[in-house]
Amino acid sequence: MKKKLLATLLSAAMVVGAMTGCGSSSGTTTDTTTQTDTATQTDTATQTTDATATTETAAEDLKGDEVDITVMVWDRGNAAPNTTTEDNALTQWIQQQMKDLYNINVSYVSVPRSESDDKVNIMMSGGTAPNIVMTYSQDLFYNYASSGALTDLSELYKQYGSNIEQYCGEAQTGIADLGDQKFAVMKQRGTENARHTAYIRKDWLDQLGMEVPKTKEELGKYLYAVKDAGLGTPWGMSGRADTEKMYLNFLGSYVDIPDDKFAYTYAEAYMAVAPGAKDGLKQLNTWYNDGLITQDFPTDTDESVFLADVANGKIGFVLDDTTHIWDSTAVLNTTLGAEDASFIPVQCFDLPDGSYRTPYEYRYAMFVMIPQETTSDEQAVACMKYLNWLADPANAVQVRYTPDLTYNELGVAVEPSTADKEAKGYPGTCDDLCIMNLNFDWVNNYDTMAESNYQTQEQDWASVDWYKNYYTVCQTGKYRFPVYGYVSDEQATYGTDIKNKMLSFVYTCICAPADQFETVYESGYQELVNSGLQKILDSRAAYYDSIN
Amino acid sequence: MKKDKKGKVKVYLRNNWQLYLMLIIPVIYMILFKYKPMLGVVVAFKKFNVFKGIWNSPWIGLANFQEAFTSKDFWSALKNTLVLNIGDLIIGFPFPIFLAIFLNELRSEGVRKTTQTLLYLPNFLSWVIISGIVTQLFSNSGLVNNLIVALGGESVSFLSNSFIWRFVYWIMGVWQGAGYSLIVYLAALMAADASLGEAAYIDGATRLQRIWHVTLPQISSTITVLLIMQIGRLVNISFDRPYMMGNTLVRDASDVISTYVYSVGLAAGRFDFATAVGLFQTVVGIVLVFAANAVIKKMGQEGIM
Amino acid sequence: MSAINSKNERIFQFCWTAFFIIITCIAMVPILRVLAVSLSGKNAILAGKVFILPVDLTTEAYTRALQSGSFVNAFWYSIVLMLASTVINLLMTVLAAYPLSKKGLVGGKVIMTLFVLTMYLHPGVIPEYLNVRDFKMVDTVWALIIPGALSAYNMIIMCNAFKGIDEAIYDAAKIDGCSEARCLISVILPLVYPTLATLGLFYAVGRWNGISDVLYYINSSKYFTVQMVLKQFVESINVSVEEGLQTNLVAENIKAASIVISMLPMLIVYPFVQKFFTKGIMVGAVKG
Repeated sequence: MKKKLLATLLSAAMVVGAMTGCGSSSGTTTDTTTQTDTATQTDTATQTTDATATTETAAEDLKGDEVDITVMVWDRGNAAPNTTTEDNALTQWIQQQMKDLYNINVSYVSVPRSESDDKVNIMMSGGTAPNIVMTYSQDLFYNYASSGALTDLSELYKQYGSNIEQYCGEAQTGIADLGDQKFAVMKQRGTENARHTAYIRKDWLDQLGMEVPKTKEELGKYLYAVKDAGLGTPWGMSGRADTEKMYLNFLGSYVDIPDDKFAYTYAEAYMAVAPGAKDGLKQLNTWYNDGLITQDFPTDTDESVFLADVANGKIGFVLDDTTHIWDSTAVLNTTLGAEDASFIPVQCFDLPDGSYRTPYEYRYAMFVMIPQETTSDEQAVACMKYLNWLADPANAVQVRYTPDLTYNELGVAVEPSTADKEAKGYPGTCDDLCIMNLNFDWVNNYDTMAESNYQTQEQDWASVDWYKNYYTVCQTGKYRFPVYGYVSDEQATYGTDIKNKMLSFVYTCICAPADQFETVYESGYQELVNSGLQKILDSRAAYYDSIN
Repeated sequence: MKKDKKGKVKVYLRNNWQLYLMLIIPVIYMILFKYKPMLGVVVAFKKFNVFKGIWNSPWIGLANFQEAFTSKDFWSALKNTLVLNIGDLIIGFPFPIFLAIFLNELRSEGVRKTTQTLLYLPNFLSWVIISGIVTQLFSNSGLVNNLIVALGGESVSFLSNSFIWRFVYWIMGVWQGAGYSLIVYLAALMAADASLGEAAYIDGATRLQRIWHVTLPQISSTITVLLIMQIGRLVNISFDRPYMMGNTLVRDASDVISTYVYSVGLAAGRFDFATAVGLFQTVVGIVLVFAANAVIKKMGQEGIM
Repeated sequence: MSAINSKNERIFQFCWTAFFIIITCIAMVPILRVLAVSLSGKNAILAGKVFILPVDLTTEAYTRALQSGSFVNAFWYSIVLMLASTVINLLMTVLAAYPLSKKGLVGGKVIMTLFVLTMYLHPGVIPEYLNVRDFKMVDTVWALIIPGALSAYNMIIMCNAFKGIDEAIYDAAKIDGCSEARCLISVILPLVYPTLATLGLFYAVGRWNGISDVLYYINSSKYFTVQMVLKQFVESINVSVEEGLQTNLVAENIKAASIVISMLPMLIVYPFVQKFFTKGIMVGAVKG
């Protein structure tokens, strides 16, 4: 019974897949083939891979000899019943597409998401890595690229990467380049957004008869007013030991960035020690000692206390990952009994010149790499074809939202419900197979996104206008720090340690008794310097000079 | 003379060949899976390159050791590791013995079995979960502090004061690990002859005398064996427990060798460096275990080797 | 024997029983908490209202966790794997511990020392991985059984238990004409049932909870153990920030429910292990 059901589902999925596959790819493949046709013959006539293709028609050109490739896929323990992460309705659909279009046999290797980098490291060192691996870590990428463990993709990208160039071009900023070689293609992010966002209690502002603050000075007045009125903790913080989200935007607003070199040198992990940031630390220290900031917040390492305080309406102001407190706010608004009842996004960290700077996510997401040791030339070509196929939004959308996707009246793709996905055998997180492109038509139309957010919210906690305002606030002072693919030896060696120490340094400075702030700051800063901070900063400045 | 020796060997082998046969598989296993990978420690003297692998990476001599031994962080991590482990030894080691002895005195089978089972359960919870509970209990707004304040006391910074934090660390260690050793001791007590205890009891010995002269000797060899092994591990420490329990304010107490190796070595892909520190731990561990074994033997007990 | 029922004894029993009940209750707090979270509503958990009693009681989390495909498959596979590897572990342990417990065994001391030293060897993950790869065991269940087939720590405990057996029993068995193997199986092993059962439990728990070897040596998710699946389940949210997903992939109560379910097999096995505890006493008493 079960088997029969599964079989019908699979065949259904394949039929749908074949149909949609034809529809979407016919348009794109023709124009790519004409481009690559000439390239294949002129640039790499020596490469044997496509030699056979020359005798065939243009449409068949990319369909070379049969090639097997293995692709890493993240496992989150949420595959549908009777399927696995590497073998389910969605992977089968992709496999079918690849077979039909390019004669490529794709198989998947699942890597546990939470330990992904460790596992990739092991497989790379053991010579058992799949043909496509990925990481978010620039350090890891650079380590591989500089030790020769990755296939140089420059030529392949020129030949087979037309979709990537066209649709994910924003992400290919050179972060994956070393000199004139390209060692990874970058996944393109979806909605362009701020990294961290501050939120303030609108209802408390009203209660106190205050306007939404526009400067840090006004923020300070609000915080003191909250404390005097006994409403709760004015500024709530948590103590995660791996992110600077709780303070970075605030400290950054004390730093004047004169030029690109400065921006690159201190980008962005080193902002807390950039000239000027000390004043920000001093301010936080004063506020902490005046009881405006959660006492002993660094002990709340898993953020449970912080999130509970937000949900229980005990906090007046937060700075956090941009959407992190939404769930807790939803609980609070439900308790208060109205949409938009509590937190609203706010940008009040004015720069010395009165403007704002909101650091944005880069357009690239992760590094998608092809290991040298385990990949033959034919496989590398096949991998690039695979990635190029995935870069086309028409294909990407079917991977991300399953081939059974629907579109709502806003034109936004909607994936089947969880139950539906499970019944059809699609994995829990389809996104894990969509490794190249999330940049769909609608993702950067903020009005549509606001509507879409409103429609998809589980609890009725925020209005469309709230979401629109959110995007407006996020865009105020949009800024991106310059970034390059290079990682100096100094940074590779001391980087992680400094990052950890930097967090300790900032937290300790904030929590220091007011009269000891100077000594704590000095000794902490000295320790950072001794641990290699200055070397890192110098190497970054030197690198900037070397290329400009 | 020679023939006699040969004959003796023959007789010995004829009597004991089965014992050697039994040992063959475990010994082969040990060589292939424990000692053979140790050849890989040469990477401690190399600059590891992912592409070239362990064998073809270039030699750099003692640079990794030099880096570790000249780093202030390494020594403070080593100190913290020792402090936390010695605390575990003093607080965490005797506690299960104490539990086992008194649990053994209880007549109610039900209480004995339930306690034993339930005390073992915390072993199943990972430190991520335990640390979440610790925050809920001991943070500034946590239950314990609420209780203290309600009783008119002043709230205590359990988690942000390095000195107090250590005790929280030790106590949670006891809580998580006590059930494990408890079972080992109970098994030893079960296996020992129960009739002796009865005899001493009838002879009019007090309970404490009986525990001292009868119960303790029954598990003394188990105690020494576990003690020696734990002493040998004084410079080893798990990553999860200090990392999950710690926070940035107590880093002067919670930065230990494993976290140091992680942030300076593994996170940056420097397996060579991590291996070098691991080799240091191996050497110290071996020295410690031999020393502990010798001391125990001097005291008239049987060691493990 | 009248002293057993004396007043002092009764007070003693009462006090210590109370003591152990209190200790046990304290020890149970975190577990009760996990249980409470697994039975509570999502919002109540977010608001930090749940401590050791469920709020907004619901069993939805269990339904969801049990429906998750990877989880159920991994569950049965993990149980089989656990049983198989425990049997192999115990066999290896006894094979090594029994000969090494003999005082006069020529070469025994050297071998024992070599075993003890293995506890302090840290070749690092890469050499270990390469070794497993050389034996062609990567991505097979053998990689989860063979490399950890023997723990020196447990072997030493076992050895210690063998040493504790009265010499006279060996001699008696020898006189009866038992070979070493016969003697071990029919006379000696029954005497150390409690230790054997304990070590079996340790091995079983170790295998059940062990994650790192699954992480390193296994590439097919069909060979993932339940704890591995669980870990992915529980921790996938931690990494989603860099991915920009930022949605709660799995709610807290489902995570807690998964943890409770993953503890169940041990709770079921444990009473059986305790049976062996009493058996050991009986055999011990008979020989006296």
